[in-house]
Amino acid sequence: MKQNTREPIRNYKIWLGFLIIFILLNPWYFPSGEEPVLVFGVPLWALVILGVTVMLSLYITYVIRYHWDIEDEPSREEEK
Amino acid sequence: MELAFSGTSGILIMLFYGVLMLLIGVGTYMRNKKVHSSLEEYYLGGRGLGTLVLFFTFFATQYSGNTVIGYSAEAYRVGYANLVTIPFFIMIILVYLVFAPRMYRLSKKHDIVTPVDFLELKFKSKAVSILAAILMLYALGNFLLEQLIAIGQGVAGLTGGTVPYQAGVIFFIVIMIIYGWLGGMRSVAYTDTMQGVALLVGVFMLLIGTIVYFGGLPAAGDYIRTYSPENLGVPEGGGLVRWTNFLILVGIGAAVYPNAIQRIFSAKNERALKRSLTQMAWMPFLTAGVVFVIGILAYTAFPDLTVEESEQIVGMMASAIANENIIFYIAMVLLFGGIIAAIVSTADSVLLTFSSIVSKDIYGRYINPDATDNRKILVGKVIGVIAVGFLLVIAWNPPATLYQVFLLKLEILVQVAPALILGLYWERSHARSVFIGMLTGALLAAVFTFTNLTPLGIFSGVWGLIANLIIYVAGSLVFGKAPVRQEADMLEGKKATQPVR
Repeated sequence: MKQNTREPIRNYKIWLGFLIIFILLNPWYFPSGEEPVLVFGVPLWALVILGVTVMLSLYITYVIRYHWDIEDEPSREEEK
Repeated sequence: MELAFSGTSGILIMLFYGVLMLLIGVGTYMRNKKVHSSLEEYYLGGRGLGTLVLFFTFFATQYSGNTVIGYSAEAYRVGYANLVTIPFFIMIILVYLVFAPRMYRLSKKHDIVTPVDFLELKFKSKAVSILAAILMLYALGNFLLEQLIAIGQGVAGLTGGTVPYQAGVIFFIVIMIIYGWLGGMRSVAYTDTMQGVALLVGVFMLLIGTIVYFGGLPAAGDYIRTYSPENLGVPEGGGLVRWTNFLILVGIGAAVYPNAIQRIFSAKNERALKRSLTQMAWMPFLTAGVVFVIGILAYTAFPDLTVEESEQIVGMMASAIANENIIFYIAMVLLFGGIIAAIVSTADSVLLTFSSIVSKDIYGRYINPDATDNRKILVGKVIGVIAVGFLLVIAWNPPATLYQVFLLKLEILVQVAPALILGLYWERSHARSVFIGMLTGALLAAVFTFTNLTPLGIFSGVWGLIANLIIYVAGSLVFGKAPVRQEADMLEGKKATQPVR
């Protein structure tokens, strides 16, 4: 087996990052009951959540790219 | 729903898409004649799907026509709180990261074809395997039923009643069964590619049309502020609990759909799997995001609809836009064709996975283990067709009582998740505890759903999952034991085991 195989689940630091993003993904930290601030017709809180959502996708992309490498055999020579 | 552009052009686009699917499906079969030689060839496309096809088949399996019609209606009704649908589709990919890498490797090493195969490998327990197979078949059956009903509604709207909608449904189902029957996973995946493109094109045209004729987000913001200002607010209290529930239950539940898991097994190599999952992590912005925006923009066009009317929102907007000019007329016909194609593409993968569980896990494992693969495939196909026939009868004659039995899906399916995900990593997992946990979780979820109980605002499926996990973990801690070999490995090579594996 190669020394440098990597599997996301084995790296707890990755999941710490996901936990932080998940906590921010739930809009509990906005003041409730106030008149929402609109930016180009979109509530500010929604834009913040959308920003966190983009971070989630970016982070997933990063984890897949740099922390997932466990195939220990050359892939089969298949069609297509 | 009433569509301004329905009728002849609707029938033409349906015929066009139907024939196209058939050609792609049959063409794929012609290029791979050995498809019926083994279960792996038929149900997993010989584990040979490359990045692009794999991506589209993930895409088409995950996004159905319902995503477009149902989610935009919901965005219209609840407003910005429905923004949660975008991260929810990304959560599914996050959950894949938990188990897909190892599941993929194991599937190659041990020739795993269905998720139940994996459970059998892991727990070697007849009870766990059979219960999981039943829960999966049950959820898949209901999922398929939902798609069949959706095809019916889509066809009815698009043809404006010119063709009895039953005829339209039969038309698409026959095509779907023919190409699925002939080419298995390969045909399904290649038609998924066409169906996915059709849906994307249609949805974007709807977005453009809406912005051109009704105005963009700033205008919609003003309308919402006037008509239902609460739809701009931050979800709080119950809304916040619902938001979190949605991310957890649906994220985990949708990730363990057996048809989604089988796509992991079908990847040609790890690279193809990684790339297509990366692309999937960005798709929600283009699909759920666009659909959400369409629902919000609908305020400008129809600011004051009742709940019932709002269900028709996509059809109403498409009709209004189609009336504006000929280009949008064609675009809206394409949209509805695309929506129907997307429903077919979800239905075909559900049916294929349904058949695979029958072939491999029921017939092949317990009824006739000595049968040839060819025969197992045949049995799976035939039972699949019988199931579709049965579901069609239900779809057209909904039973007056116990109809809820046919609505349970995710609540039940998610109960298999602990065995699949925890079972993948936790050597101590104790088969009997897994079984009792799964059974209790499923029953609890069903009872809570039927009696409409949501204590603390938490979904029935999540309650089931909590009970399930407690039994699983507690039982395994008390009765389970890690294999001796594993213990020795851990003790001796603790450092070595970390980077390896």
